[in-house]
Amino acid sequence: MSLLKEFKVLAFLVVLVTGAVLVYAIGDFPDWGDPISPASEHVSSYYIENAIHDTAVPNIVTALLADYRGFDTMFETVVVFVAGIAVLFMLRRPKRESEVSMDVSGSPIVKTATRIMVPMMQLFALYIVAHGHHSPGGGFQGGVILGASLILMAIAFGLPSALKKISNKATVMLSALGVLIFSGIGILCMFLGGNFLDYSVLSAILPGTDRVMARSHAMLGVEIGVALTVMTAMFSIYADLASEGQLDQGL
Amino acid sequence: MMDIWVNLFLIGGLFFIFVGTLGVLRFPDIYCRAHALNKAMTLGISLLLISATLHIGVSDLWVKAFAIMIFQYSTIPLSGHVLALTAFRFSSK
Repeated sequence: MSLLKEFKVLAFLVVLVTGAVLVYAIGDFPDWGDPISPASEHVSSYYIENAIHDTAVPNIVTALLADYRGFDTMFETVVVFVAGIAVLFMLRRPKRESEVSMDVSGSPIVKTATRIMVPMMQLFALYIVAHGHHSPGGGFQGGVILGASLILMAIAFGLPSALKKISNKATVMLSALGVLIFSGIGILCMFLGGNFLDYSVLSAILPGTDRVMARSHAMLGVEIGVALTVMTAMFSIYADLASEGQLDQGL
Repeated sequence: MMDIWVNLFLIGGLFFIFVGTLGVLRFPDIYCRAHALNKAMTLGISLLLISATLHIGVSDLWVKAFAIMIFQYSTIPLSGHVLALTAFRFSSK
């Protein structure tokens, strides 16, 4: 039995045991929609009653994700970032020896339609990111649409021409920058005397805001960071998968 | 009176979407299937949108529904074209 096979068996056992423990833990959950579960009794009603006064954000979901549970969302962003980096590390290989040229770029019709659609998609994605406080949307959703627009460009014009627009280096840097924006806003709050991700103290440096509006504005900053990370992680994963880690050809 | 039109457009849209999916299941090759899907879906989705906007009445949702229709008209034929073109390229190799 080779080392790799032993490693695979070990990994399978770890996954199996972890999964069994998780399934066992499901038994301790309260029933689905149980009205007397702790979550329904205490925090939910508090959020529904006070979110608009605390944060001036009409969309309670965004207020919850980006403010009350900002710590959770920050690490979700880190998970997306780590996923992009992990795919990069696993798939990236040195350049191929043989140059197999393969024309996989789309027809003129596809190229023309892409040229029209990509700006609209990106504008709509920016609207979703910026309007996430008031309507369904936010950083993750807008970031996915931005990433889809980049992937559409790569499909229609070929991966190399898309990588000319946004290089691989810039992709990874922007991905890290998104996480940096999120955690940087949190650390800025600590410097201003509040807790980590306690946005209300930001009113000291944001001109013309009180403690409530500061939370609303800080949420926008956080969403922009999330959108950057999600967009670049999507595109990076796609580029690595489509070109088998070579970044020279592929769809 | 409006309810009749709403139901008429709704039934029409559902009919065309049903016919489109039936075509995908029953037609023999990929060109026929792409044809059935694209033509019937375009018409079916626009009829459903008209029905929904009539049901809501006068509001700014009309603009959104119109925008959705424009995007459907531009992207569904495009996807059909790509599908047929790819199938043709692979079958001719």
